[in-house]
Amino acid sequence: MNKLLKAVTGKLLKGATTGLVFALLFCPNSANALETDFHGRMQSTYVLRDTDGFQYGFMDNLEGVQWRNELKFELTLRPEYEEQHFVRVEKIYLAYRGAYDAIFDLRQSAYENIREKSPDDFELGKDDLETENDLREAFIDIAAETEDQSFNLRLGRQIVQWGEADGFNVINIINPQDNSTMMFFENVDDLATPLWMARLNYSKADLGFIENLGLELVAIPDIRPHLFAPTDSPCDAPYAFWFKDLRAWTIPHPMFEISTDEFSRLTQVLYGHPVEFKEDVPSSGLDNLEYGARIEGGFKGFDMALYYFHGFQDDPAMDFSRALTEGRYYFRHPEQDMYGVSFNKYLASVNGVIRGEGCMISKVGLVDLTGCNGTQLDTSSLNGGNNPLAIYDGTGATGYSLQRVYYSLIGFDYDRWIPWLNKGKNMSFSFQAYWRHIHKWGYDQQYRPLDKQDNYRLTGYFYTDYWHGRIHPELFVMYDPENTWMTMASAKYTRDGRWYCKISVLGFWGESPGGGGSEGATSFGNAVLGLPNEPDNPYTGDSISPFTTPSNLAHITEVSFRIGYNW
Amino acid sequence: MKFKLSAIIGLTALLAVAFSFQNATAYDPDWKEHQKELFEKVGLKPGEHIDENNWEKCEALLPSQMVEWVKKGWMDITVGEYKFDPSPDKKWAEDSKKNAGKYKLDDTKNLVDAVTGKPPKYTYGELFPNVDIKNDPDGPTKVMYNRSVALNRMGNYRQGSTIEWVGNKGFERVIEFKLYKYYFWSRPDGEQPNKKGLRYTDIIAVVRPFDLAGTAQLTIRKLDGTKDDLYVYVPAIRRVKRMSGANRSDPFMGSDFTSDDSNSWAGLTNSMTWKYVGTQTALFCLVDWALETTNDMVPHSDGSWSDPPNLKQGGQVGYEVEGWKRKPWAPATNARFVPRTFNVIEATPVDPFYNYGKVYFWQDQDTHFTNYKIYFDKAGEYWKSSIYYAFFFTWGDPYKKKMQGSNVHVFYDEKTEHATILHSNGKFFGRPIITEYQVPMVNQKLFTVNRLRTLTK
Repeated sequence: MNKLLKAVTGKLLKGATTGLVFALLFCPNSANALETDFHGRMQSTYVLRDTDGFQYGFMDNLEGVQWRNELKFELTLRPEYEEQHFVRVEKIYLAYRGAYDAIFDLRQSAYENIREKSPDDFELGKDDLETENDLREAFIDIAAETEDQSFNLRLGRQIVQWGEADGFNVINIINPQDNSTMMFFENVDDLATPLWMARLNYSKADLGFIENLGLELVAIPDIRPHLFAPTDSPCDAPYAFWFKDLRAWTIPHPMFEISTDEFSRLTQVLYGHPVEFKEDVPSSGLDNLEYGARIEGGFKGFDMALYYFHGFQDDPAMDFSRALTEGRYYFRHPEQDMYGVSFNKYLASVNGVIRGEGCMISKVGLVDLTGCNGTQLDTSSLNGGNNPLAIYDGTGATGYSLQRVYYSLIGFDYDRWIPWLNKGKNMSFSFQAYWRHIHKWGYDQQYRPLDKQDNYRLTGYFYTDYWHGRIHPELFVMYDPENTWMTMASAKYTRDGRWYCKISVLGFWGESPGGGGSEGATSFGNAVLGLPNEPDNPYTGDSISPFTTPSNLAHITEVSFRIGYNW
Repeated sequence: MKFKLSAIIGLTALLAVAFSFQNATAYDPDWKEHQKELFEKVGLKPGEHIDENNWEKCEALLPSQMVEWVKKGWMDITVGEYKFDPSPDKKWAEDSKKNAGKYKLDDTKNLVDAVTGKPPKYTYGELFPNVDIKNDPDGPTKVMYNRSVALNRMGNYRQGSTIEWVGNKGFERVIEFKLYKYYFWSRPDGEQPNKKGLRYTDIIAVVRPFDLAGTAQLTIRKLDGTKDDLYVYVPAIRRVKRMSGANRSDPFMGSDFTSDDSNSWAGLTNSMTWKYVGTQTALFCLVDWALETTNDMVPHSDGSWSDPPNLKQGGQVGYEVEGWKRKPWAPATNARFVPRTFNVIEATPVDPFYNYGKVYFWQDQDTHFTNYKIYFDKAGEYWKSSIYYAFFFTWGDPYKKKMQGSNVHVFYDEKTEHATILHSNGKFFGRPIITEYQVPMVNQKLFTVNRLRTLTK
């Protein structure tokens, strides 16, 4: 029923949008000319992964994880009018992306265990990774103007990005991300999942002392979560390491423990399938409409914006409560409200721009096992008699709790001419400091193992051009005070602006959780049972960062080679 | 500065007095006689050709750096003559006279009303019609203000443009963009509301190639003479980013061109200290058809004006001409050089972070059109030169407004031996590059940060 409703709503929306497009195109105020822009790119990217990272041996454990061949193009149609009408179609925009990843044919044996087909919406299969054929964006802009006001209504599938942050999503929570095949080497634009929505932009020249008053309203009936690589039983997809580690994870319990892999053997017996990760996404449609607003203005060069967004969490909140009864962990997407603010100001005295943003999200689902009740099972036949197993039986909490979370970020961008680095052009520098604070939260190794109350990160981003813009090097560095670094360096070369090639190296650095570089099993139980920390027990140390929990990225280094053609 | 000093001093001595009190708004009924005198003075005839074999003929008639180009055979010169008076239209000249005594410069060298001491929200006509460039210490600055209004009288417009990378071996790559501009001063349709106190706003929106398409830069130039507000919409992150307004001397997208180089000078007038160097007769570079006719804009029912359907070829550079033997960036077969009277003005940046050292502007005394710029680095070494191919266009009823513009910019960096070419009118690889004035969609409401977000994608 849910599916049917979603399909009907989706079709109605698409139909209405298409109808409106045609109605406006052929309305009496029809345009007398149509300016068209058509351009795109073809590119091929090969990614090599050093599976224990450069810090544990340079390029010594290499495997190809991607050979993605992509075609992307955009078509923009702009009607030209003899007269300026109060309401007019400003443009129609279509963006298509198709891709084929040859790595699954090249390394069939490595990826043969990935499930072939997508079992459900938002749960991907190998076919989703191997090929893409997607009309990513399709929207129409309808503009209206009065003496000192302008309106722009954008209807259709589109991307909206909010805030001032680079490399973080603080306020920017409208479009979910597609992390299934491309995590590291892509533009934000390419990682975002476009959504069907209506977006209204309103501008007014001035209002009292406020300059450039702007208002943006969004209404989104299209509910989608972040997409991940197939969360199947082997989790062998190249970018499934987050879930691969999760599958090796042990469900904590005051008395007993069981790893997900062990549990899978149990569910295989009980339900005929290994433990499953199931997406539980609210249905699309007007009943679950996401909506938000941004209002912005300036005063003497100080620009500020206020944000509000009501929607569903894109990241999964993991619910273990039906593990025993169904053999499934559910990814819930709780409803939440975001209240945010951002600003920027050009500081002439230092020739730089200071910018920042902050927000409070009312309910963020975080792993919280407090109150979970267990059931002890005699499963000695399954695990060699080592342990009795405990499974959450759903009589207590779900395994996550909804917390109020504060995010903030401040950045500073400036350019400097450093002749010994680049005689012909300025170097551009960008620095950011990020802080996340979970309200009334106490980190607990056993019950709240993945998040500390405060998380800080610092970033630096540097770029310039050499050789008349033919060579464009970039360096991005992120440091987490939990002793983890992420670095990405790249250099792009183009001679004619059409053909280009690019090499990028991404690495995570620092001490792996538990002190090792390997993908060790994880366990919380030792602490509970009063046992000493073991080297392969990653979650008994202090290092809790997005790079180390629940997945251990510190053993990942990737090198990407790209060649492409723009037109 | 390696001017041929003897030549400059000699010519300057003769001409300085005559032209130091310049009526830069000159509408010249005796233009033919004046042109004839200039030809006699330089000893050249229309149709004459100068190259590496007789380069001495232009020795005192171009910046010395460009004389070297002729001497080395990098470029050649075909002399032409005007068939009409190249001065601005008569009404502009008359309106300019009304501004005598109306304006002055404040302590920051920003233009203000002489009575109120505040920047004018609207002006029409040259701001200092009787400026004494030689004896008034602020004379060169005032001339630059005159220039800024004389060459920017289009009100609002939309224009296609290219930036081409050209090495000594030929064409390398191109970026195509659209320029949207809204001037508050010197508008043909009179004063418009200007609550924010702006001089102009513009948007540069990249059209292709794909990896840059959608990038749009909004510049807000204020009347108070402070640095610009600058915002860039970056399609890769789908966001508008606030940028430093002081980076106008940075290479634009890695080219040899900077934002301040647009139309010879698009910087803040009070960001430079201007100094009069001299007045001399020299050869003015323009496209061949501009000697005989103007580009007559065509009116449309919405009140806009656009290039005529039979679009004329813009100034060509070497790589556009098959079989061209000289430098691929050099003015080529349809370039003509006509003797004119120039003011040479030296600009020294006030901002210590500005990328250039001194820059020398070679400016037509009548039209203020800067034909050549010679750039030095901060260490005082010669760096690069630019040539602004000129043409004229007319529009408007009942009288025709006439203004000089540039349809091709040429920048050659002698240190890196690399050039950048901008085409902003004419044809590029057969594709028309159109300019449209007073287009309704280019109105004040277009130039807001909020609007920038939906302008491209």
